Amino acid sequence: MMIQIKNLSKSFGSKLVLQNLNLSIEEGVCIGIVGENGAGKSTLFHCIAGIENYNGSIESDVKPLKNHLGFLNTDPYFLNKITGREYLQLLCNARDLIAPDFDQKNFFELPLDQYASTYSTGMKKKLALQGILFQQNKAFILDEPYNGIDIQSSMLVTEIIHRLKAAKNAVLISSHIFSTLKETCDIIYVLKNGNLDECYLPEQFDQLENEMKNFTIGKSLDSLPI
Amino acid sequence: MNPIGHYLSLQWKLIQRQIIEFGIPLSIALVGAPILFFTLSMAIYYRTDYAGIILITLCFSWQLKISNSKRIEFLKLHYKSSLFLKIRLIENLLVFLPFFIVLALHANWLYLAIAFILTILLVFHKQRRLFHFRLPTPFHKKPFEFIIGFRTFYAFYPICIALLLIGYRVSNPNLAFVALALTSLSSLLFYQLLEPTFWIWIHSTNAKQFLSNKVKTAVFQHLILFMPITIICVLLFPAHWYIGLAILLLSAVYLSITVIAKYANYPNQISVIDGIFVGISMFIPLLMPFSFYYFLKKSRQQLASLL
Repeated sequence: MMIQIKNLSKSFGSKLVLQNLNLSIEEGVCIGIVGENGAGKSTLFHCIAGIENYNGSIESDVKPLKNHLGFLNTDPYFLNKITGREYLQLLCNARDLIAPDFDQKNFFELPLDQYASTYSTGMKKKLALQGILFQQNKAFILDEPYNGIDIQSSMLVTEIIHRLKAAKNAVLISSHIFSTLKETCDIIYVLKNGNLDECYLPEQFDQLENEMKNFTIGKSLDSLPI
Repeated sequence: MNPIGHYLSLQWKLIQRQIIEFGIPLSIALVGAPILFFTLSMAIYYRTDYAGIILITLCFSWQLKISNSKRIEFLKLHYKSSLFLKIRLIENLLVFLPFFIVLALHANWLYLAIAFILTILLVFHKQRRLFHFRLPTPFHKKPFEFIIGFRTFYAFYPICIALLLIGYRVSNPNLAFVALALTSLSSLLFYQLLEPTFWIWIHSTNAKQFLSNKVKTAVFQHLILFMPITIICVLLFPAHWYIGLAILLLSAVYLSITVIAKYANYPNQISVIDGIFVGISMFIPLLMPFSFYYFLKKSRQQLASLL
């Protein structure tokens, strides 16, 4: 599966968040997106998913893209009084799929009969990820998949991403934990000033990490009142 | 400003924002709400013999709503114990105040005393978060509105069934059918809850199919939930079987309109004008086909960009 983004622009009022952005996402490839808070990563993901309106074009070889796209939100939201199991059932129903045996495929060992709204941040993330994996998608947008999850589950998420790539799925991921991007991505783009002008290949990941460290720490600590 | 004053002024700001978001000018809401409350209270007194019970139930439900565990946890975390208890007491008394006036005006001293005791008791009540308690429902194959609705309103149904049985015992079919109508119409409340955008976006259907599936599921689950109580009612009052059937079917039609209208202003709640239109068309059944068509068109437009 391939997704082609051409001249994508998005603004909120007078604030231009994404500006003539171009990106090609190919099957079996994991693309990482890094950028400061508010750079527009989540907006870009929402545009690709079709949740936000935008200018430009997003084309894919499967149509409509949204019906084959698994989207893991930064902060998955669960309504009160819905159990983990019922949420998974809802996601399968939404795609008209026969639900698998959730107990057998409960790879994160979640308490599925407990209300999802009472889950911890990490458990919510894992439930949301488990849900989109059951949907048999061909492309995945993972917005901060490592947020709040424990070390063991982080290892599991990394392995899941490797398997998704091996199964020729296209994966787009953002993370504030650089090491996780290094372990999973084939290419990393830096989202800056609404664009993805800078891209780095695996052999350049250390260089990117150092550049980010020098820029961010140097800039931020100058104003530290100690 | 002292902490309690600051907290209450913050709550007042929140309420004002909710009123404005709902689309009602603040001045109209401030004048209209007390008038509406007292008019409705009078209507309850005029129409039923159970006004005291109804008012206590409403007052207590409202107090329970603001005593939810997350809110209590937040207050406990940020205020010391004495302040926490004072805030809880003031909040509960503020809710109690309008009910106090109405009950006092009607010299319902017993009900007034009960409501007051409940108001005080609730301040000290420790609500536990029921992590492991899950109320089973027959709707797990098609989540979510009936699951959430049933788990929210389950305590209401035994009260309605009790009223129905009292109606049978005192040979008052009207009371029994009012209880049945209250039960059946409760499903309309299940659809007041707006789901997050993501929960709609995940569907691989277009807007028309999405709405059609929603209505089919709603009507089917409505019949599953309320058929048994309708059958009980019909068996107890066989001479009035057609009233029981009419209530069940009419509430299913009302439910269909409510489901369709829910998305007419999505991702926002239904507008006040549209809400009034839903209400009017329920009172004038001839308007039903028009309102159905109107809301179907509007909801399809609202959902088209997501589906």
